[in-house]
Amino acid sequence: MADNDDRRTLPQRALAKPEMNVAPLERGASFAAGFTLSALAALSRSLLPRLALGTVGLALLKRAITGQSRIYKTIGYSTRLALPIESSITVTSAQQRTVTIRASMPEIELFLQDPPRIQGYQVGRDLLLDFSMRPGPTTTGTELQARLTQRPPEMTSAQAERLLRETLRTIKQLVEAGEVAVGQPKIQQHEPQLKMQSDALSNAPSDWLAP
Amino acid sequence: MKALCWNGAGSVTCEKVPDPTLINPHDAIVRVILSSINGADLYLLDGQIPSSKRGDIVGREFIGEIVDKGRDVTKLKVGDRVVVSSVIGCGQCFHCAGGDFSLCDNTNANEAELDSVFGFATSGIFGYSQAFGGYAGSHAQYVRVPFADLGCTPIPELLSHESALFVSDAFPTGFMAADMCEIQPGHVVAVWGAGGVGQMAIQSAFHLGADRVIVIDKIPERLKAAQLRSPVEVLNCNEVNVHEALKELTAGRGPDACIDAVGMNGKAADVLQQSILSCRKGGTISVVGVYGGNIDHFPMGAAMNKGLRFRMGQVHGARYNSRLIKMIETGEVDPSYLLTHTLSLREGAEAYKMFKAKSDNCLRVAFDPWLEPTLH
Repeated sequence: MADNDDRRTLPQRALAKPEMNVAPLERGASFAAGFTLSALAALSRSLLPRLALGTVGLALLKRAITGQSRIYKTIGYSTRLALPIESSITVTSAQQRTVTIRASMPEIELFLQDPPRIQGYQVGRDLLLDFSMRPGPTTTGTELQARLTQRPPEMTSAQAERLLRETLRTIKQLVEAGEVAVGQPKIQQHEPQLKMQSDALSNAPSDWLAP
Repeated sequence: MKALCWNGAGSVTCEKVPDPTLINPHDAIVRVILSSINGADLYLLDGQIPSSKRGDIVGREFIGEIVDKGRDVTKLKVGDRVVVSSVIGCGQCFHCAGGDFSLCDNTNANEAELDSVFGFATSGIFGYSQAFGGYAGSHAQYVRVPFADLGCTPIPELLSHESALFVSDAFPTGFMAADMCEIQPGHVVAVWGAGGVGQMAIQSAFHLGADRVIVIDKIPERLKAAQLRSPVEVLNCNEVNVHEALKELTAGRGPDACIDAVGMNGKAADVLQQSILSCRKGGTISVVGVYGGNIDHFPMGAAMNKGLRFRMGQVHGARYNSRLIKMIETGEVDPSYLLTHTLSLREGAEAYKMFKAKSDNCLRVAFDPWLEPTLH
């Protein structure tokens, strides 16, 4: 559900974290402009200019303080290059396999240098990802962390976060279940992508996927 | 192949669609023998489960024959007659390892959609909207079954199609409802809803040791059908005040466990409210009726102050299926009586109408996708 959907329920609102979408430099400029306009509004003698300058000035000040722009949010744009973006997922499986995963970071990197395209972007070319691992919250789990260190300029923070999440899920599915879940309608829409996934899976080192 | 497709709220049509193919190594292709309309399908039909797309194939409860399988399917062979769990588990993730297959981490192909609504995505389900994985449903001539080794249970030769069909969803759902009540000797269990799942919950509750089972419904024929198969006590909610009647039947204490086998009614949850108020203090509420979003007027105060215990969920089919097949084999339960009508896919709209209206003493309607129309 989109963040700007006003029909969200209370639990959904609670779950949605407020996202800043204004770059720090732009926030500074907004503060300066907002402060100036507000001061001019205070000095103005006629009502209409005072109201107009005051409204715009306060809106800019709010934008500077919160780092959030409603206009950017509506059009899905962000000037805040919040790199690196980090996310993590717990890969849980039998102990034997977890040990194999821990020992297989090079294979994961190798896999992601020749990975499926996700949301139309080629991981390793359009996007750069770093991976690290540490013991997960359960005795048989491994927490796989990913950092997105480069993204195309047109990609918003929200898109990048979603892509990172999807990449981690893809890896989790491959490691735990040995394949990527595909609903039937998606098959018809994205057949070439899926073929790439299957090929990549077939080429993956056998010890990575072995139970 | 022929398949029944959802085409907007209240509309299903029989259409010609491409045959499914093997995609992943754990897939099997099943030639459908019987596919039943399930209560949950009605929520989908009415548009209460969001994210369905026009053209989605519906249906989740079915049996069939394996006609093709992927390279990693090892427990099944082509020609096996199988009952397929409605909920898809991978068998490997944290939740599947604990037998909670409907919470599987790896089978929902569209996880992000449910993440935003439920906080975490649950498993994929056949024919149950894009949010639950976008898997093609079973009201079709063929179905692709992911993780077939886990989801398909071979049907013993002597079991009829009709007896095995409901092991796909209704029987394990009813069994799970009773199982979650943690029934002890002497317990009284109240079951709301005498449809397919409710009927199976009644028989499962007796099987698991309930002393008495009381079923509540408004359709006399369904109450009679329950009485014919077990020593159940019945309450017609159109004729009595259910809360008062349950109090009277339990010497003022209330049932030890209450099963909601009905689910949501728009944004209301009449049954859930009634069961919370009627349950004895410290009792268990077991919910297997389908809920899709938020509900109004949930009596949280009563639930908290009475110290009620809540158990609920979509069915963890593969956890129970072998056990249920054995129960049918030994003659302890025969769910075949649930199947009151068998129709062709071309009669899909009429079948849904009949099932929704519960007309013609309809308990469950199944499609034989190879059958030609008979209604007209």
